[in-house]
Amino acid sequence: MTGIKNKKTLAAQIVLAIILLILCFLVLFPFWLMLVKSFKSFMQEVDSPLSLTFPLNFKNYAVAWEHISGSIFNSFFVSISEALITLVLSSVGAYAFARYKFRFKNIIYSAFLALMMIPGVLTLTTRYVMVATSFSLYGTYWGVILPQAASLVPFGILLLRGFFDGIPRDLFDAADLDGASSVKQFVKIALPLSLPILLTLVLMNFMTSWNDYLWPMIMLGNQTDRYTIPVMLNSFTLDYYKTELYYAAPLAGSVLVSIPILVLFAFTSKQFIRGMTSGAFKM
Amino acid sequence: MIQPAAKKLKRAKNQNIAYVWLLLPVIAVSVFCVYPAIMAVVRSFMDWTPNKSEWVWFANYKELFTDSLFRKAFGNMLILVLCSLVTSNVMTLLLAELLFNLKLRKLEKAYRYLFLLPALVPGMVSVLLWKNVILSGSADGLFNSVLSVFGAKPSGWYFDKGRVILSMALTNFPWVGGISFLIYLSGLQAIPESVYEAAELDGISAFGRVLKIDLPLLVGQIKYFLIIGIINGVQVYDLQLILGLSPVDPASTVPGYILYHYTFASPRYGYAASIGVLLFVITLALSTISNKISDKMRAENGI
Repeated sequence: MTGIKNKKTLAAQIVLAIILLILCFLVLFPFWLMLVKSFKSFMQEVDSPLSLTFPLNFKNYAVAWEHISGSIFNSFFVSISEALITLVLSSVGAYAFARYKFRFKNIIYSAFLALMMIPGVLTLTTRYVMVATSFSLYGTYWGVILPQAASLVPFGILLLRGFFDGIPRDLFDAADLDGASSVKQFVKIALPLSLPILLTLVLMNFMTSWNDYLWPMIMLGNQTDRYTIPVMLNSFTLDYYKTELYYAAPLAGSVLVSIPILVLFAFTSKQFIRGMTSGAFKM
Repeated sequence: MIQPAAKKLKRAKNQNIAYVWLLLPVIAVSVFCVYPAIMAVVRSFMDWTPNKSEWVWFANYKELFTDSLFRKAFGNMLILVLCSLVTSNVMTLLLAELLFNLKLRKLEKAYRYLFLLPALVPGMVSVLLWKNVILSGSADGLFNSVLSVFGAKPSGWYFDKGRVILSMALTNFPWVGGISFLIYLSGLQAIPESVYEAAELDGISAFGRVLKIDLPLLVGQIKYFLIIGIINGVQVYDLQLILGLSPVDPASTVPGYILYHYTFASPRYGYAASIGVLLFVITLALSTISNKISDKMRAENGI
């Protein structure tokens, strides 16, 4: 290596680092602003809207917690139920495709995959009328959970089948010789060997449901005590602004509702990242 | 010869248990996905409201194609989809390249987590930040404050009919936060070292390398983001909904939002269904086309 080349690479590296720093600043600054503004009193907001001001008003957080806390529990209930229902349905479906040969197998499998191409707008109207009117699930948790869980099943089957296919057949054949039932093989062989991918699927569907706004908003109507986080945060923000004319408490609420996923991520970052990127690797 | 046949029969019988395993998932998707989709197509040929339901065949579609609001909405949608496909893909690719070429591994890792952060925050939080803090129409919104330094008058952004589309396209600037860059990054990391060594021996510049080596080898990832971007972009109207814009305002509405209007605000389910069918056909056509194009590109590059 010559000195000149080293200098050149060093200069290039510094430029890279600076561009990255600027990009990072642009991405994170809104969240910094959210934090800063969430501690402001009305006068602080009027005097210096964009900088950190003291004293910090923790009262905003108390107000936000009072309005938002219920929705955090609702969201956990809805998202965990959705993720688990999808997990059960996809794993039994994927097991059938991976383990058995049967008539119409490829046709049924292709039909599942084709379902992933159906956009939500196509089914919105008819699904709403069906779930709200025919099933009388309007304003209930199940009206939110069941349709969403079902629509995540096709991808779940795609993801899990790929994994189940990789389990050595000898294991199942040996279990067959031992006379183990297919349920037993599923619970004792297929599931334990695929724990990481199962966790990936759960996290992925949990996040989809956690972030979903449209369907819970439609289904829950004016049942405010059942609102999930996105629905509650939006309605709290609108209501609060009407009386207080600024956004401190709703921004405090935004900070609060961001915490659970940050904590979850801290413990499961590997599975988490895989869950959120596995769509790309499966196509 | 009897024995193997019996074994085979027994085996075939065993295999039929697969249908039992499939029962629950098939019922679930039939009820909540297949049936609504089929009914949407059927109902799109009907005049269907909460009180009546009668066949009108192509009347809904005829109305759709002659409705000036729908035409305007379709134009808005095309602009927004094109903008987001270009901005998000270019910027996330840029970010992935920057991180990939950064030699300090520790710094690269730290940056990875920082750029991930927006993906961990609920989408609603980001949208509300853009609505109320960043592109807020008040004078102390972030954009208005920054622009006022250069002497610009405060703008209403989302609530200025002339600027609403621009504002929506600007939302999430610089369009890199989230998880997508990791997909490009892992694509880059999968390129064999030997390819780069050969390029270096040939004296290819960094920019030339991106164009000649990286981009062709990332066709798979680009295709994924194009298809996902089209499918989401054609149907999405969360932003308009959360901003509280009117679904019948030609300045900002999109077809999906008109569908929403005719499902909830003034129910004409049949007409709404015909919009859904049209959007479905469009997404199908566009993703088939981008599939074909990327396959052709792959074939030309010999991958």
